[in-house]
Amino acid sequence: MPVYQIVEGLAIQEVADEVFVLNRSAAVVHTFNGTGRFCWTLVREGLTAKEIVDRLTETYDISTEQAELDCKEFLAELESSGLIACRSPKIKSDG
Amino acid sequence: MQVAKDKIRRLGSSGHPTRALFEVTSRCNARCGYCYIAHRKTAVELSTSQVIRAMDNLHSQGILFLVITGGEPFLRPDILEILNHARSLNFLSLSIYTNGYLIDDSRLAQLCGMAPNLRTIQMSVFSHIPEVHDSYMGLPGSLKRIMFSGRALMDSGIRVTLSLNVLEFNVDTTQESIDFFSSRGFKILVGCFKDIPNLEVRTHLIGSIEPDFFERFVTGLAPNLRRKYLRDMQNRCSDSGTGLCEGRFTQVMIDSAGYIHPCPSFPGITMGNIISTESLHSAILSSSEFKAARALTRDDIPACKSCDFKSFCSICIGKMHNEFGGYDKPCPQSCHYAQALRKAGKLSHAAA
Repeated sequence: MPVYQIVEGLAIQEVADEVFVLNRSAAVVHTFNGTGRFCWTLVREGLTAKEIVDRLTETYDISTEQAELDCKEFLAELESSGLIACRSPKIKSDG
Repeated sequence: MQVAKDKIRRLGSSGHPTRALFEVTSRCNARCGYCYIAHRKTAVELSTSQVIRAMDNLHSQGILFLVITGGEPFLRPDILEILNHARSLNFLSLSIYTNGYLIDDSRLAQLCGMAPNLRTIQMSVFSHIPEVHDSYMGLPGSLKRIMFSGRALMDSGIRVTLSLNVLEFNVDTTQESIDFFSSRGFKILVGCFKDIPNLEVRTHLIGSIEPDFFERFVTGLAPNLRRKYLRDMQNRCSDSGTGLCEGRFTQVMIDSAGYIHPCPSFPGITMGNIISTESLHSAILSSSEFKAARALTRDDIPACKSCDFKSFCSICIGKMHNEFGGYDKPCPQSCHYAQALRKAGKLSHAAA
């Protein structure tokens, strides 16, 4: 499973229950909803995508399939926004 | 840089300001006739290590946007050390407000190297005509330096904003100055002020700009800019849940001795000292003086409740407090500006 890491040079600030992440090169500030904050924290801790899915199913009342889908979408969004980068090779799909 | 306003507002309402203005000195080398700060009796100034501790404290307590201001911050010999430390803390936005006069070549080179963490430098201007600008500030050659350093800073990726301060002597050339600076790539902010010879009155931010001045100011603007001012004010009014300035929730001001105030226009309320306070959040919520100001809505002010100008007015409650020591009456300046804006709205409507 791929492992992601936070891209260097971001400005990250936590206030109360909010997280603000600034990608300076794009001049965009990102904030997350509750589940997004949960996943973001796990990415920062260095968990793999699989481990994040496990933690999601343990914490929230959702199926593994749903957690996988949500996690995949969220990580893809973070990656396309320049907030995280994959640090291990992604497994190619058979298709 | 866009930040979700609703999140900033929600945090502010729960006692978590996200913007701090830090007056690292109250000393100034300029002699502007409206400025409240240079004549404060308390000229105490934090040491370098105290300023650093204060910035650490602001960062650890969730401040997103830090503004280093004064007085004139570049009067401090340690200003670059202060800025470098602020930069290392990686605030979402770091800005500095200055008159620009003390930014020599060496300092300019170092500032240029602080992008992108140093996001904005805001410099005060009074006119696009050098003699007018320089003589008001009492700093010969000042505008030339601003133009030179401003260009270099912009070229290095730092946003340069010129704060065009409009007073009686320059109100009739406001639009010319805006056009001049805009055409050279500067972002312009415009503020209206009034020269107040009485230092005691000036220091306490008492006194209102008269309606005829605001009318001259507003009607002298180009129609598109006038419409923008109207839109901005109307947006601000509709964004605000209380009908009053929202700065009391979203920002704090730290004075040169480290004391925490709601904002620069609200020096009469103090909520502890940033050096010794363990929680900015608690300091704000436990201030009995500030509690009434935080709870205030437009409907609590009898004269404002059903005022015809309310969609043109974002009342400064700091000025109310300065003028009257309470919140029973709006400060006249807010009313005067709202009247001028509404009149301008009618003009714009007629011209369209």
